[in-house]
Amino acid sequence: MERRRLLITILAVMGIWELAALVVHRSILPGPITVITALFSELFRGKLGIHFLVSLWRVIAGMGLAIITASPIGLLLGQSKRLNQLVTPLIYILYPIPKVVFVPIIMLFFGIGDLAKVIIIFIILFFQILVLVRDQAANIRQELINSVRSLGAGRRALFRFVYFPATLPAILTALRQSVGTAVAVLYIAELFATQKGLGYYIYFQGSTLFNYPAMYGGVIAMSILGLGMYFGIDWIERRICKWLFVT
Amino acid sequence: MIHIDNISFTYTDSNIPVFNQYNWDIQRSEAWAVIGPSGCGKTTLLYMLAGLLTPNSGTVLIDQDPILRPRPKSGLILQDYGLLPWATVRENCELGLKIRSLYGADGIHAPRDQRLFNSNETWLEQLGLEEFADKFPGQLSGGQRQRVAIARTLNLEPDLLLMDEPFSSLDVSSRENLQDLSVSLVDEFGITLVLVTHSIEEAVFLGRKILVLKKPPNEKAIFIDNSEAGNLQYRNTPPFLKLCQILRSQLGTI
Repeated sequence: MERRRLLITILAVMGIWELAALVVHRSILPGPITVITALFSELFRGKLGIHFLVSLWRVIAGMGLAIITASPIGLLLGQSKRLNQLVTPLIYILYPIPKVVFVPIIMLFFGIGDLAKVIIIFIILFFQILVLVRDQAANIRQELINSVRSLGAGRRALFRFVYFPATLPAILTALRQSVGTAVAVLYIAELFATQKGLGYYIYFQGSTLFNYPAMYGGVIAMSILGLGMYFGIDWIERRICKWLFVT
Repeated sequence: MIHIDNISFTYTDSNIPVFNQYNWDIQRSEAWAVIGPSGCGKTTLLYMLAGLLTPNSGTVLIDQDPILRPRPKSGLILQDYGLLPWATVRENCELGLKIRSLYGADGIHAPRDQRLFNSNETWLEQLGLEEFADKFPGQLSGGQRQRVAIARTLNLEPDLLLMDEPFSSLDVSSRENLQDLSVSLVDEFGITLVLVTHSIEEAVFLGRKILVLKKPPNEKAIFIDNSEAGNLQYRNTPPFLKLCQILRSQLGTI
Protein backbone atom coordinates (compact mmCIF):
# COMPACT_ATOMS: atom_id res chain seq x y z
CA MET A 1 0.00 0.00 0.00
CA GLU A 2 2.81 2.39 1.02
CA ARG A 3 4.76 1.71 -2.17
CA ARG A 4 1.68 2.10 -4.33
CA ARG A 5 0.97 5.46 -2.76
CA LEU A 6 4.56 6.54 -3.29
CA LEU A 7 4.41 5.55 -6.94
CA ILE A 8 1.11 7.39 -7.46
CA THR A 9 2.59 10.51 -5.83
CA ILE A 10 5.69 10.38 -8.04
CA LEU A 11 3.53 9.97 -11.14
CA ALA A 12 1.26 12.84 -10.07
CA VAL A 13 4.26 15.17 -9.50
CA MET A 14 5.64 14.25 -12.91
CA GLY A 15 2.24 14.81 -14.52
CA ILE A 16 1.96 18.31 -13.02
CA TRP A 17 5.56 19.01 -14.01
CA GLU A 18 4.92 17.93 -17.62
CA LEU A 19 1.81 20.07 -17.73
CA ALA A 20 3.70 23.10 -16.37
CA ALA A 21 6.47 22.53 -18.94
CA LEU A 22 3.91 22.49 -21.72
CA VAL A 23 2.24 25.68 -20.46
CA VAL A 24 5.50 27.61 -19.83
CA HIS A 25 7.04 26.26 -23.01
CA ARG A 26 10.54 27.70 -22.41
CA SER A 27 13.93 26.05 -22.26
CA ILE A 28 14.32 26.93 -18.56
CA LEU A 29 11.62 24.37 -17.70
CA PRO A 30 12.19 21.14 -19.59
CA GLY A 31 9.66 18.33 -19.07
CA PRO A 32 10.39 15.32 -16.82
CA ILE A 33 11.09 12.89 -19.66
CA THR A 34 13.75 15.22 -21.14
CA VAL A 35 15.27 15.67 -17.68
CA ILE A 36 15.30 11.98 -16.80
CA THR A 37 16.90 11.17 -20.16
CA ALA A 38 19.54 13.84 -19.48
CA LEU A 39 20.01 12.51 -15.93
CA PHE A 40 20.81 9.01 -17.14
CA SER A 41 23.05 10.15 -19.96
CA GLU A 42 24.95 12.50 -17.61
CA LEU A 43 25.19 9.76 -15.04
CA PHE A 44 26.62 7.12 -17.36
CA ARG A 45 28.31 9.17 -20.06
CA GLY A 46 28.90 12.50 -18.31
CA LYS A 47 30.41 13.31 -14.90
CA LEU A 48 27.26 13.52 -12.76
CA GLY A 49 28.14 10.23 -11.05
CA ILE A 50 31.49 11.60 -9.83
CA HIS A 51 29.86 14.80 -8.55
CA PHE A 52 27.21 12.73 -6.78
CA LEU A 53 29.82 10.53 -5.11
CA VAL A 54 31.85 13.57 -4.01
CA SER A 55 28.80 15.14 -2.38
CA LEU A 56 27.81 11.81 -0.82
CA TRP A 57 31.30 11.38 0.61
CA ARG A 58 31.20 14.90 2.13
CA VAL A 59 27.84 14.21 3.79
CA ILE A 60 28.92 10.83 5.15
CA ALA A 61 32.28 12.12 6.38
CA GLY A 62 30.64 15.10 8.13
CA MET A 63 28.03 12.78 9.59
CA GLY A 64 30.62 10.30 10.87
CA LEU A 65 32.71 13.06 12.40
CA ALA A 66 29.63 14.53 14.11
CA ILE A 67 28.55 11.15 15.51
CA ILE A 68 31.94 10.25 16.95
CA THR A 69 32.44 13.64 18.59
CA ALA A 70 28.95 14.78 19.60
CA SER A 71 27.71 11.46 21.02
CA PRO A 72 30.37 11.07 23.74
CA ILE A 73 30.14 14.75 24.67
CA GLY A 74 26.34 14.52 24.79
CA LEU A 75 26.60 11.40 26.95
CA LEU A 76 29.03 13.13 29.30
CA LEU A 77 26.83 16.23 29.62
CA GLY A 78 23.75 14.07 30.12
CA GLN A 79 25.42 12.22 32.98
CA SER A 80 27.00 15.18 34.72
CA LYS A 81 24.63 17.88 35.94
CA ARG A 82 27.49 20.23 36.86
CA LEU A 83 29.20 19.97 33.51
CA ASN A 84 25.89 20.41 31.75
CA GLN A 85 25.12 23.56 33.73
CA LEU A 86 28.52 24.91 32.74
CA VAL A 87 28.12 24.23 29.02
CA THR A 88 24.36 24.83 28.58
CA PRO A 89 24.64 28.63 28.10
CA LEU A 90 27.13 28.08 25.27
CA ILE A 91 24.86 25.56 23.56
CA TYR A 92 21.90 27.87 24.19
CA ILE A 93 23.64 30.63 22.25
CA LEU A 94 25.13 28.51 19.45
CA TYR A 95 22.35 25.98 18.83
CA PRO A 96 19.74 28.26 17.21
CA ILE A 97 22.20 30.06 14.88
CA PRO A 98 21.52 29.01 11.29
CA LYS A 99 24.81 27.27 10.59
CA VAL A 100 24.79 28.34 6.94
CA VAL A 101 26.14 31.74 8.06
CA PHE A 102 29.37 30.01 9.07
CA VAL A 103 30.04 28.90 5.48
CA PRO A 104 32.24 31.89 4.52
CA ILE A 105 34.09 31.80 7.85
CA ILE A 106 34.81 28.09 7.61
CA MET A 107 36.07 28.59 4.08
CA LEU A 108 38.38 31.32 5.26
CA PHE A 109 39.85 28.99 7.85
CA PHE A 110 39.77 25.64 6.06
CA GLY A 111 40.10 26.68 2.46
CA ILE A 112 37.93 25.67 -0.43
CA GLY A 113 38.69 21.95 -0.46
CA ASP A 114 36.82 18.96 0.86
CA LEU A 115 37.68 19.64 4.49
CA ALA A 116 35.70 22.89 4.64
CA LYS A 117 32.60 21.20 3.25
CA VAL A 118 32.88 18.26 5.62
CA ILE A 119 33.25 20.67 8.54
CA ILE A 120 30.15 22.59 7.52
CA ILE A 121 28.08 19.40 7.52
CA PHE A 122 29.76 18.40 10.77
CA ILE A 123 28.77 21.65 12.50
CA ILE A 124 25.12 21.35 11.45
CA LEU A 125 24.84 17.77 12.70
CA PHE A 126 27.09 18.20 15.75
CA PHE A 127 24.75 20.42 17.75
CA GLN A 128 21.67 18.47 16.85
CA ILE A 129 23.23 15.17 17.96
CA LEU A 130 24.78 16.77 21.04
CA VAL A 131 21.50 18.20 22.28
CA LEU A 132 19.40 15.11 21.60
CA VAL A 133 21.94 12.67 23.05
CA ARG A 134 22.42 14.89 26.11
CA ASP A 135 18.68 15.05 26.76
CA GLN A 136 18.27 11.34 26.19
CA ALA A 137 21.13 10.48 28.55
CA ALA A 138 19.80 12.88 31.19
CA ASN A 139 16.33 11.36 30.97
CA ILE A 140 17.37 7.78 31.66
CA ARG A 141 15.42 6.91 34.78
CA GLN A 142 17.47 6.60 37.95
CA GLU A 143 15.52 3.43 38.80
CA LEU A 144 16.84 1.77 35.65
CA ILE A 145 20.41 2.74 36.53
CA ASN A 146 20.01 1.58 40.13
CA SER A 147 18.57 -1.68 39.01
CA VAL A 148 21.40 -2.36 36.53
CA ARG A 149 23.98 -1.27 39.13
CA SER A 150 22.48 -3.79 41.52
CA LEU A 151 23.32 -6.49 38.97
CA GLY A 152 26.98 -5.57 39.42
CA ALA A 153 27.36 -2.92 36.72
CA GLY A 154 30.05 -0.30 37.12
CA ARG A 155 30.66 2.59 34.72
CA ARG A 156 31.87 0.39 31.89
CA ALA A 157 28.85 -1.93 31.98
CA LEU A 158 26.45 0.99 32.41
CA PHE A 159 27.87 2.58 29.28
CA ARG A 160 27.77 -0.66 27.33
CA PHE A 161 24.33 -1.85 28.41
CA VAL A 162 22.43 1.34 29.29
CA TYR A 163 23.82 4.63 28.01
CA PHE A 164 24.98 3.48 24.58
CA PRO A 165 21.80 1.67 23.51
CA ALA A 166 19.63 4.36 25.11
CA THR A 167 21.22 7.09 23.02
CA LEU A 168 21.19 5.27 19.66
CA PRO A 169 17.65 6.43 18.79
CA ALA A 170 18.64 10.00 19.73
CA ILE A 171 21.60 9.90 17.34
CA LEU A 172 19.45 8.55 14.53
CA THR A 173 16.64 11.03 15.17
CA ALA A 174 19.16 13.89 15.14
CA LEU A 175 20.59 12.67 11.84
CA ARG A 176 17.17 12.27 10.28
CA GLN A 177 16.06 15.71 11.43
CA SER A 178 19.08 17.52 10.12
CA VAL A 179 20.35 15.59 7.13
CA GLY A 180 18.03 17.65 4.87
CA THR A 181 19.50 20.90 6.20
CA ALA A 182 22.99 19.46 5.85
CA VAL A 183 22.46 18.64 2.17
CA ALA A 184 20.97 22.12 1.57
CA VAL A 185 23.93 23.83 3.17
CA LEU A 186 26.30 21.55 1.27
CA TYR A 187 24.71 22.87 -1.93
CA ILE A 188 25.51 26.46 -0.86
CA ALA A 189 29.06 25.48 0.08
CA GLU A 190 29.62 23.75 -3.22
CA LEU A 191 28.73 26.91 -5.13
CA PHE A 192 31.97 28.55 -4.00
CA ALA A 193 35.25 28.03 -5.76
CA THR A 194 35.07 24.30 -6.24
CA GLN A 195 34.89 22.01 -9.23
CA LYS A 196 33.45 18.95 -7.59
CA GLY A 197 30.08 18.20 -6.05
CA LEU A 198 26.45 18.44 -7.00
CA GLY A 199 26.15 22.12 -6.01
CA TYR A 200 28.91 23.00 -8.44
CA TYR A 201 27.42 20.72 -11.10
CA ILE A 202 23.95 22.30 -10.87
CA TYR A 203 25.32 25.83 -10.95
CA PHE A 204 27.78 25.09 -13.77
CA GLN A 205 25.21 23.37 -15.99
CA GLY A 206 22.60 26.09 -15.43
CA SER A 207 24.61 29.32 -15.40
CA THR A 208 27.58 28.54 -17.60
CA LEU A 209 26.54 25.85 -20.07
CA PHE A 210 22.80 26.72 -20.09
CA ASN A 211 22.23 22.95 -20.25
CA TYR A 212 18.92 23.08 -18.38
CA PRO A 213 17.97 19.37 -18.66
CA ALA A 214 21.34 18.46 -17.09
CA MET A 215 20.85 21.14 -14.43
CA TYR A 216 17.48 19.66 -13.51
CA GLY A 217 19.13 16.23 -13.57
CA GLY A 218 21.56 17.58 -10.96
CA VAL A 219 18.66 18.87 -8.87
CA ILE A 220 17.08 15.41 -8.95
CA ALA A 221 20.42 13.82 -8.01
CA MET A 222 20.69 16.17 -5.03
CA SER A 223 17.11 15.33 -4.00
CA ILE A 224 17.96 11.64 -4.25
CA LEU A 225 21.00 12.26 -2.05
CA GLY A 226 18.85 13.90 0.66
CA LEU A 227 16.01 11.41 0.36
CA GLY A 228 18.42 8.47 0.25
CA MET A 229 20.12 9.60 3.45
CA TYR A 230 16.75 10.09 5.14
CA PHE A 231 15.41 6.68 4.18
CA GLY A 232 18.78 5.06 4.87
CA ILE A 233 18.72 6.36 8.44
CA ASP A 234 15.13 5.23 8.78
CA TRP A 235 16.12 1.76 7.58
CA ILE A 236 19.03 1.56 10.02
CA GLU A 237 16.76 2.66 12.87
CA ARG A 238 14.24 -0.07 12.07
CA ARG A 239 17.00 -2.63 12.13
CA ILE A 240 18.90 -1.61 15.24
CA CYS A 241 16.11 -0.04 17.32
CA LYS A 242 13.54 -2.78 16.82
CA TRP A 243 11.98 -2.14 20.21
CA LEU A 244 10.67 1.24 19.02
CA PHE A 245 8.59 -0.36 16.31
CA VAL A 246 6.88 -3.22 18.12
CA THR A 247 3.29 -3.02 19.23
CA MET B 1 23.57 -12.26 58.14
CA ILE B 2 22.85 -8.53 58.05
CA HIS B 3 23.92 -6.26 60.84
CA ILE B 4 22.98 -2.62 60.70
CA ASP B 5 25.25 -1.01 63.17
CA ASN B 6 24.43 2.41 64.58
CA ILE B 7 23.67 4.06 61.26
CA SER B 8 22.64 7.66 60.79
CA PHE B 9 21.43 9.09 57.53
CA THR B 10 20.25 12.59 56.64
CA TYR B 11 19.38 13.78 53.15
CA THR B 12 21.33 16.88 52.13
CA ASP B 13 18.16 18.92 51.66
CA SER B 14 16.79 18.09 55.12
CA ASN B 15 17.71 18.84 58.73
CA ILE B 16 15.95 15.85 60.21
CA PRO B 17 17.83 12.56 60.04
CA VAL B 18 15.85 9.68 58.52
CA PHE B 19 17.81 7.31 60.73
CA ASN B 20 19.60 8.26 63.90
CA GLN B 21 21.95 5.68 65.46
CA TYR B 22 19.71 2.93 64.19
CA ASN B 23 20.40 -0.77 64.71
CA TRP B 24 18.78 -3.75 63.07
CA ASP B 25 19.71 -7.43 62.59
CA ILE B 26 18.51 -9.92 60.02
CA GLN B 27 19.25 -13.64 60.19
CA ARG B 28 19.78 -15.82 57.13
CA SER B 29 16.61 -17.07 55.38
CA GLU B 30 14.38 -14.69 57.28
CA ALA B 31 11.54 -12.95 55.46
CA TRP B 32 11.17 -9.35 56.52
CA ALA B 33 8.57 -6.83 55.44
CA VAL B 34 9.30 -3.15 56.03
CA ILE B 35 6.31 -0.88 56.34
CA GLY B 36 5.68 2.72 57.30
CA PRO B 37 4.15 5.99 56.12
CA SER B 38 5.47 7.85 53.05
CA GLY B 39 8.80 9.53 53.73
CA CYS B 40 9.61 7.25 56.68
CA GLY B 41 12.82 5.99 55.04
CA LYS B 42 11.73 2.55 53.80
CA THR B 43 13.41 2.92 50.43
CA THR B 44 16.42 4.68 51.96
CA LEU B 45 16.95 1.71 54.24
CA LEU B 46 16.61 -0.76 51.37
CA TYR B 47 19.03 1.24 49.21
CA MET B 48 21.56 1.17 52.04
CA LEU B 49 21.21 -2.61 52.18
CA ALA B 50 21.62 -2.69 48.40
CA GLY B 51 24.79 -0.59 48.54
CA LEU B 52 23.25 2.19 46.45
CA LEU B 53 23.35 4.61 49.40
CA THR B 54 25.85 4.73 52.23
CA PRO B 55 24.98 5.95 55.72
CA ASN B 56 26.53 9.20 56.99
CA SER B 57 27.83 7.26 59.95
CA GLY B 58 27.66 3.69 61.16
CA THR B 59 27.95 0.63 58.95
CA VAL B 60 25.81 -1.86 57.11
CA LEU B 61 27.42 -5.30 57.36
CA ILE B 62 26.37 -8.29 55.30
CA ASP B 63 28.25 -11.48 56.16
CA GLN B 64 30.66 -9.26 58.11
CA ASP B 65 31.53 -7.22 55.01
CA PRO B 66 30.74 -3.49 55.07
CA ILE B 67 28.43 -2.58 52.19
CA LEU B 68 29.82 0.34 50.23
CA ARG B 69 28.61 -0.66 46.78
CA PRO B 70 26.15 -3.22 45.35
CA ARG B 71 27.03 -6.71 46.55
CA PRO B 72 27.13 -9.45 43.90
CA LYS B 73 25.01 -11.86 45.90
CA SER B 74 22.22 -9.37 46.65
CA GLY B 75 19.34 -9.03 44.20
CA LEU B 76 17.24 -5.87 43.93
CA ILE B 77 13.71 -5.75 42.55
CA LEU B 78 12.09 -2.34 42.06
CA GLN B 79 8.52 -1.24 41.51
CA ASP B 80 9.20 -0.07 37.96
CA TYR B 81 10.94 -3.36 37.01
CA GLY B 82 14.21 -1.75 35.85
CA LEU B 83 14.21 -3.66 32.58
CA LEU B 84 16.11 -2.44 29.53
CA PRO B 85 13.37 -1.38 27.09
CA TRP B 86 15.63 -2.05 24.08
CA ALA B 87 16.48 -5.61 25.08
CA THR B 88 14.28 -8.67 24.63
CA VAL B 89 13.06 -10.71 27.60
CA ARG B 90 15.86 -13.21 27.02
CA GLU B 91 18.50 -10.48 26.75
CA ASN B 92 17.16 -8.85 29.91
CA CYS B 93 17.30 -12.17 31.73
CA GLU B 94 20.91 -12.61 30.64
CA LEU B 95 21.94 -9.06 31.55
CA GLY B 96 23.40 -9.86 34.95
CA LEU B 97 25.42 -12.72 33.49
CA LYS B 98 26.72 -10.50 30.68
CA ILE B 99 27.76 -7.87 33.21
CA ARG B 100 29.57 -10.53 35.21
CA SER B 101 31.39 -11.87 32.19
CA LEU B 102 32.43 -8.31 31.31
CA TYR B 103 34.26 -7.95 34.61
CA GLY B 104 35.07 -11.57 35.42
CA ALA B 105 34.99 -13.04 38.92
CA ASP B 106 36.64 -10.01 40.56
CA GLY B 107 34.74 -10.19 43.85
CA ILE B 108 33.42 -6.65 43.26
CA HIS B 109 31.08 -6.93 40.29
CA ALA B 110 30.74 -10.70 40.47
CA PRO B 111 31.35 -13.19 43.27
CA ARG B 112 34.88 -14.54 43.35
CA ASP B 113 33.58 -18.10 43.36
CA GLN B 114 31.13 -17.59 40.52
CA ARG B 115 30.54 -20.55 38.30
CA LEU B 116 30.29 -19.89 34.61
CA PHE B 117 26.87 -21.13 33.79
CA ASN B 118 24.30 -20.58 31.11
CA SER B 119 21.37 -22.12 32.82
CA ASN B 120 19.23 -18.99 32.66
CA GLU B 121 16.76 -20.95 30.55
CA THR B 122 15.65 -22.56 33.75
CA TRP B 123 14.40 -19.36 35.35
CA LEU B 124 12.82 -18.24 32.12
CA GLU B 125 11.01 -21.57 32.03
CA GLN B 126 10.26 -21.81 35.72
CA LEU B 127 8.64 -18.40 35.74
CA GLY B 128 6.64 -19.18 32.60
CA LEU B 129 8.43 -16.64 30.43
CA GLU B 130 9.69 -18.84 27.64
CA GLU B 131 6.93 -17.91 25.23
CA PHE B 132 7.82 -14.21 25.69
CA ALA B 133 11.58 -14.72 25.32
CA ASP B 134 11.84 -12.74 22.08
CA LYS B 135 9.43 -9.98 23.04
CA PHE B 136 10.41 -6.56 24.36
CA PRO B 137 9.34 -5.37 27.85
CA GLY B 138 6.97 -2.84 26.27
CA GLN B 139 4.95 -5.75 24.87
CA LEU B 140 4.39 -7.37 28.28
CA SER B 141 1.93 -6.76 31.10
CA GLY B 142 3.16 -5.36 34.42
CA GLY B 143 3.05 -8.77 36.07
CA GLN B 144 5.05 -10.37 33.25
CA ARG B 145 7.64 -7.58 33.38
CA GLN B 146 8.11 -8.08 37.10
CA ARG B 147 8.53 -11.81 36.49
CA VAL B 148 11.31 -11.00 34.00
CA ALA B 149 12.98 -8.74 36.59
CA ILE B 150 12.76 -11.54 39.16
CA ALA B 151 14.11 -14.14 36.69
CA ARG B 152 16.98 -11.80 35.83
CA THR B 153 17.89 -11.45 39.50
CA LEU B 154 17.48 -15.15 40.30
CA ASN B 155 19.83 -16.06 37.46
CA LEU B 156 22.59 -14.53 39.55
CA GLU B 157 21.78 -16.95 42.40
CA PRO B 158 21.36 -14.33 45.11
CA ASP B 159 21.25 -15.19 48.78
CA LEU B 160 19.49 -11.93 49.62
CA LEU B 161 16.52 -10.49 47.76
CA LEU B 162 15.71 -6.82 48.32
CA MET B 163 12.35 -5.70 47.00
CA ASP B 164 11.06 -2.13 46.86
CA GLU B 165 7.27 -2.11 46.53
CA PRO B 166 7.64 -4.69 43.77
CA PHE B 167 3.99 -5.57 43.30
CA SER B 168 2.21 -2.31 44.07
CA SER B 169 1.41 -1.40 40.48
CA LEU B 170 0.12 -4.86 39.56
CA ASP B 171 -3.42 -6.16 39.39
CA VAL B 172 -4.65 -8.33 42.26
CA SER B 173 -4.12 -11.73 40.65
CA SER B 174 -0.59 -10.94 39.38
CA ARG B 175 0.24 -9.50 42.78
CA GLU B 176 -0.93 -12.56 44.71
CA ASN B 177 0.77 -14.82 42.21
CA LEU B 178 4.13 -13.09 42.67
CA GLN B 179 3.66 -12.91 46.44
CA ASP B 180 3.25 -16.69 46.42
CA LEU B 181 6.40 -16.97 44.31
CA SER B 182 8.31 -14.85 46.86
CA VAL B 183 7.19 -17.18 49.63
CA SER B 184 8.47 -20.20 47.73
CA LEU B 185 11.82 -18.52 47.08
CA VAL B 186 12.36 -18.13 50.80
CA ASP B 187 11.13 -21.61 51.63
CA GLU B 188 12.70 -23.61 48.82
CA PHE B 189 15.96 -21.77 48.24
CA GLY B 190 16.55 -20.29 51.67
CA ILE B 191 16.86 -16.79 50.19
CA THR B 192 16.72 -13.99 52.74
CA LEU B 193 13.96 -11.55 51.83
CA VAL B 194 13.59 -7.88 52.71
CA LEU B 195 10.48 -6.42 51.15
CA VAL B 196 9.49 -2.79 51.40
CA THR B 197 5.79 -2.22 50.98
CA HIS B 198 3.06 0.25 51.80
CA SER B 199 0.44 -2.47 51.75
CA ILE B 200 -0.46 -3.78 55.19
CA GLU B 201 -1.87 -7.00 53.72
CA GLU B 202 1.32 -7.65 51.76
CA ALA B 203 3.51 -7.01 54.81
CA VAL B 204 1.45 -9.42 56.91
CA PHE B 205 1.33 -12.09 54.21
CA LEU B 206 5.04 -12.05 53.39
CA GLY B 207 6.85 -10.75 56.45
CA ARG B 208 7.59 -13.34 59.11
CA LYS B 209 8.94 -10.29 60.82
CA ILE B 210 7.54 -6.86 60.10
CA LEU B 211 9.72 -3.82 60.65
CA VAL B 212 7.65 -0.74 61.31
CA LEU B 213 9.22 2.59 60.46
CA LYS B 214 7.75 5.84 61.64
CA LYS B 215 8.10 9.46 60.69
CA PRO B 216 11.80 10.42 60.94
CA PRO B 217 13.93 10.31 62.87
CA ASN B 218 13.89 6.51 63.28
CA GLU B 219 15.99 5.67 66.32
CA LYS B 220 14.96 2.20 67.38
CA ALA B 221 13.93 -0.81 65.32
CA ILE B 222 10.29 -1.62 66.06
CA PHE B 223 9.17 -4.98 64.74
CA ILE B 224 6.34 -7.46 65.00
CA ASP B 225 6.74 -11.26 64.91
CA ASN B 226 4.46 -12.92 62.43
CA SER B 227 5.38 -16.58 62.32
CA GLU B 228 2.28 -17.57 60.33
CA ALA B 229 3.45 -15.57 57.31
CA GLY B 230 4.60 -17.49 54.29
CA ASN B 231 1.76 -19.99 54.53
CA LEU B 232 -0.10 -19.74 51.24
CA GLN B 233 -3.43 -20.32 53.04
CA TYR B 234 -2.74 -17.49 55.48
CA ARG B 235 -4.66 -14.82 53.55
CA ASN B 236 -8.14 -14.14 54.92
CA THR B 237 -7.67 -16.32 58.03
CA PRO B 238 -8.74 -14.67 61.33
CA PRO B 239 -5.13 -14.29 62.64
CA PHE B 240 -4.12 -12.65 59.34
CA LEU B 241 -7.00 -10.18 59.50
CA LYS B 242 -6.35 -9.51 63.17
CA LEU B 243 -2.68 -8.70 62.58
CA CYS B 244 -3.64 -6.44 59.68
CA GLN B 245 -5.93 -4.59 62.06
CA ILE B 246 -3.23 -4.27 64.72
CA LEU B 247 -0.75 -2.98 62.18
CA ARG B 248 -3.29 -0.57 60.74
CA SER B 249 -3.94 0.92 64.17
CA GLN B 250 -0.18 1.09 64.89
CA LEU B 251 0.48 2.92 61.65
CA GLY B 252 -2.51 5.14 62.31
CA THR B 253 -1.00 6.40 65.54
CA ILE B 254 2.39 7.17 63.97
